[in-house]
Amino acid sequence: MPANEELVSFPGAQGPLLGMWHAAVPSARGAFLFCHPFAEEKKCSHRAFVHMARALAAAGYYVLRFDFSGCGDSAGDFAAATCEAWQQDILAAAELLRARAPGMDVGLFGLRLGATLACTASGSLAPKWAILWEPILEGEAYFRESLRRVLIKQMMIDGRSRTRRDELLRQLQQGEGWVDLDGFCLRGTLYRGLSALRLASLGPPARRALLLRIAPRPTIGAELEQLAAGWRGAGAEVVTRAIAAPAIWNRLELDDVSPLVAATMSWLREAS
Amino acid sequence: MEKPVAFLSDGLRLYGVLGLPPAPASRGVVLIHGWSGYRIGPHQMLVETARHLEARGFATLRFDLRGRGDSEGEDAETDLDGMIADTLVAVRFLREMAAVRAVALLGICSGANVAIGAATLEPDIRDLVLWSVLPFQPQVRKSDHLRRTRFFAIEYARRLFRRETWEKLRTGRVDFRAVRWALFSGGGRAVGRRNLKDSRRDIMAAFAGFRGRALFVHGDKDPDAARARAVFMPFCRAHGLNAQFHLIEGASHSYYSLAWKQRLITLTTNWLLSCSTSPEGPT
Amino acid sequence: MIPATIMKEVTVGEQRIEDKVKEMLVERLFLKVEPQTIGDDDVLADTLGLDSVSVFEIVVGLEEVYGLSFEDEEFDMAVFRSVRSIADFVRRKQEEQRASQ
Repeated sequence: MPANEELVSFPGAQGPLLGMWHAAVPSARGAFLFCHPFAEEKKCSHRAFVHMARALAAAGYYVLRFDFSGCGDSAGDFAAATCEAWQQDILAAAELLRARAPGMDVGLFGLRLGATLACTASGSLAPKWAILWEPILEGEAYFRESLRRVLIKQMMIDGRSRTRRDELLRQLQQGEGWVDLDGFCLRGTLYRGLSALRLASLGPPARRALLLRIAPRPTIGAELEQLAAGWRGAGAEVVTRAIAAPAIWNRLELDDVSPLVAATMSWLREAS
Repeated sequence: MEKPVAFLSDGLRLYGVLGLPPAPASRGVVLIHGWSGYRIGPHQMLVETARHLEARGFATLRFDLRGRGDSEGEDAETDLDGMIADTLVAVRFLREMAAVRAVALLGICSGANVAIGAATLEPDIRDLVLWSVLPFQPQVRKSDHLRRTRFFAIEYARRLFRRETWEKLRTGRVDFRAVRWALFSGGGRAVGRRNLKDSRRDIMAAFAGFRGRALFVHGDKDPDAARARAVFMPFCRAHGLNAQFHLIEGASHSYYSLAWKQRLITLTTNWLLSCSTSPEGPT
Repeated sequence: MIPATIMKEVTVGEQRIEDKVKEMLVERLFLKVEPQTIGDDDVLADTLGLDSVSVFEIVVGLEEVYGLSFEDEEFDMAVFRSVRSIADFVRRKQEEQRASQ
């Protein structure tokens, strides 16, 4: 493995952010910014991000991966994170990307809520490419699902669930309310910002986009097709694909992600 | 203060974060993640623990084992002995960077097994914090083969794959790609028939001679806790090891709640602080 | 061009719910065993080592395969004890659906 990787630290919204820079080998044709998914999904999918980044670097793309404020090794407390802070982090990361890879075409890569967040920041970045793995279409629906895990955990411990999602949502919607999401302190502020995100209300994130569905029995689904159609209508070239794979953001073991990486690189070769 | 670091182990570049307390540290802690995780730990608990310890005067190093996190190395070839070798390098690295002699190891799940393995090779490691340690693989009963031992099951499934699955494929009852994924996931190609979680050494035999202190913690709702305690408690008693065993009430294997995490970090910090008056090991 | 993965719908026909559930478990949890090796009455927490991650996958799997939905107050470990208890839950929900039509 060539020594083309280095840990980097740069200022973010709530203190220094930690990231990893992958230099393109051998000559560069673009630069990608990676946005990780929410809470524990980040840890589960971290190694997949590393494999994707290495594949891109080997194909001539710089890559900057980084941890959002309060996440991973970046400064800040998860409990103090906000959607706005994370969006500022993306812009700060983009600045570093542009400084290290001046004049290069920019690409965005994100998984789940990271894909959604990346799209919200794309306006100022004018990216050529957007690679969105299992993007979250609506923040609110995503959190309704996530809150079920709180109930499931209660069930695993006490034999039955002890509360209802409506109660948890009420907690989050009131002022300083918070919910313990499997060891992550989800505060109302962060919940309100993220649950307001809707991909359908954003324009295409890049001139060329790949929407990749990842599921044990993947179908692209009407909503994703509709989103793709909307973005095509706005002038973007959008490809949708579905790959049979485990939910890599949800697993407690390492999966072979080469089919996902291969499908992505194949699309990128055609989209370049 | 934290800074990103990198160091070499067996020619592989490993990445991590070094944490230095405000005043020069007298002791260090190396934090070791679990089998499939990476240096931040489940729900960022290794990051939070490291920062908590830094605030109390410890130098810390959390790092990615080979084949994990940001580090170099092949995912599917990483085995327990490799992880142990990496940990020994990490200990030496922390000693140099933070100018400390005494280094404790803190490991979660298989990381705790790694900690024990490393301590048996480095006499200056005298404090072990073992979160949700599992019995070493040779101690696992054959009847447990369905449970959490997916590496064993790869060989089993491969035999079935040839006969059963081709039959189903022929009759069109199974999607080939999904099956292929199911059977070959788990980190890519397995290395022969070797169980990667098994050491080439008899680590327990060596651990019998451990002369430091060990803190064993499990969640009492962790289905592996009873099995692990059933192995380690009598073992420590039989060999006169200085070991304490704790249970965190209600907690699961990875302590998935703010309250359990907090209790675990507090218990751990207090135990490590109580070691500070123990004598340094021999040069 | 890579063709999109085409998933064939598995015809349920007269298949026992227990057997369908076993197939779903192997598929969703990416277990490296044949579905029929899981006994109807095996305690899943012991044989599969269930955690909240896998239970969540089972819930989503059941909802997709059977088109039912778990109400918040229906999260009860007794349902997830074994393949048989899961199948009984599915039969109950199907009965409720039929009764309300």
